[in-house]
Amino acid sequence: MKEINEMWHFQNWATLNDKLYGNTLSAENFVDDGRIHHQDNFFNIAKIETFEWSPENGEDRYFVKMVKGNEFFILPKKYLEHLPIEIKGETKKIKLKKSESQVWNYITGVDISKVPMKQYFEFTDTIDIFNPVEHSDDMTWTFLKLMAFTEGIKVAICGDTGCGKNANLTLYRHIRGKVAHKIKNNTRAQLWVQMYYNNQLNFDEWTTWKKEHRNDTEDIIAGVADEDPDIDKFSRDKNRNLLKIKNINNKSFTFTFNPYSDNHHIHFKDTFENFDKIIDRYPILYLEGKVLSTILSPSDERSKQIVFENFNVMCKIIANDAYWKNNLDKHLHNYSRVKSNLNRRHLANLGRLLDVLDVYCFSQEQFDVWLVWIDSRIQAYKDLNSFDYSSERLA
Amino acid sequence: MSLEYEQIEPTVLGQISTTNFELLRLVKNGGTLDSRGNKKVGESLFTVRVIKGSWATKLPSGQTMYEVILQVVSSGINNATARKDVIVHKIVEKQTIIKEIEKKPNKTQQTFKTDENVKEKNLFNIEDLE
Repeated sequence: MKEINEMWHFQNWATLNDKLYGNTLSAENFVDDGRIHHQDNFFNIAKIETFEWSPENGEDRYFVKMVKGNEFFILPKKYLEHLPIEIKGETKKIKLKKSESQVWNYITGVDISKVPMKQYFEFTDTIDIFNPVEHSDDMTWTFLKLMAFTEGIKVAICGDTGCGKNANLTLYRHIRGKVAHKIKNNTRAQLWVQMYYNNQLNFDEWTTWKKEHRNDTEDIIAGVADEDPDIDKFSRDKNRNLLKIKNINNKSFTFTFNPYSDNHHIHFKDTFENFDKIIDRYPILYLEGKVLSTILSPSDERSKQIVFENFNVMCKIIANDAYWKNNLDKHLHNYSRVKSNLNRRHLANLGRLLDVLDVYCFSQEQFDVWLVWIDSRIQAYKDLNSFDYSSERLA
Repeated sequence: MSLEYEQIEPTVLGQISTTNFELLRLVKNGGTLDSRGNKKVGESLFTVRVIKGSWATKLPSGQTMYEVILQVVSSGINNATARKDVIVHKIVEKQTIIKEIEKKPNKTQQTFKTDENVKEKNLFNIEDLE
């Protein structure tokens, strides 16, 4: 068990991620936030001379700039939807301007890097063995793991420092990719790019964001949680005609923040221009407890050794996660949700999490305990902040 | 700068070699193209016709033609305009369409095609984990 614990340090999953995705390019490799560029003619660097050339298809003249290590790449826009990708075949050495010295590798073919799927564990075990640190509140810790597993939820989590609000999402970032676990101070355009390339977005420490960034992004954040799949109306940045975000309802948007205290003088509700709109859509839960155990941070060498020793089991965990992520619906018990007091919108925005809980639980009784617990956590946050609204008004 | 054209019948006017400047003049003076047809200067050969509406993709000679959209910018014609193998130009004022004779790329100017065939590749083999 000691080895398992050591293996679960996020540094080891980052090391494994580097190993698996070493030959790939992903959204993390963008040079300028994934901005789309256009150019008709490029300059091909040949042995004797540099000559002008142009992609035959007009769409290949739209591209993004990427960097990995000390190599720079031009990726045609049509391949963006496939990220992460592996470069196929030779790249063309080019310059964007005849006079510049920067050498770019124009990518002419790609393969899609795909995580293979296989069920190695039952779902309950999948969650229970994941990040098995000690926590003073088992329900809180399990809930945070279930929440991190789930794609397609809208929820805000208030918890004291050390509660472990982001720990599991950090792991999933390295296991799944496409997880933005600590979004801070984004502009509208930056958020739009994050939304395009990630399936799980967490607004970390929202109460400490700069006011101008909060105001800039508030209507997008409210909009994605109103069950309206059409969010093109929010696309006002210059990439709007090029990056259409699909399936917004399948993406998670979560807040994590600390409660108001003597040392933290900002109420979550005071950070919004229109908090009623937010609270109507995002259930806010107050989670109690603290992470009690610590996994020592491994050195780079030790991390490589751990990954070498646990490579098979770590890959099995990744393949197993991919299986459950894509096949959860086949295992639903369809337990009754009548015990839940969530209002209509909250029920919709936590719907996928309730599906995950449904598969996690062995019985209706166990599921009911969770429904009541979720209600109690929502009530706990209301009590904590003594909201001046009634649940009836929002129901 | 506003360019005015006369209506020209959508027929091939002939192979016309042109520099950027000459092509601009061709466009500007589209109505006089008939009298300038088959002019040949230098090595750049273009079959040009100025149209309003649709056009055929085959020349009477049987040659395959590519579509070229000519860009006329206020500061003059884009440098890339009217050279061999240059196919698409931006549109600023009036859209004029010419068609370029199919020819092999030379070493100074080439086009290329990216691979449309994207395949999925597993990050690791499940079988190797057993």
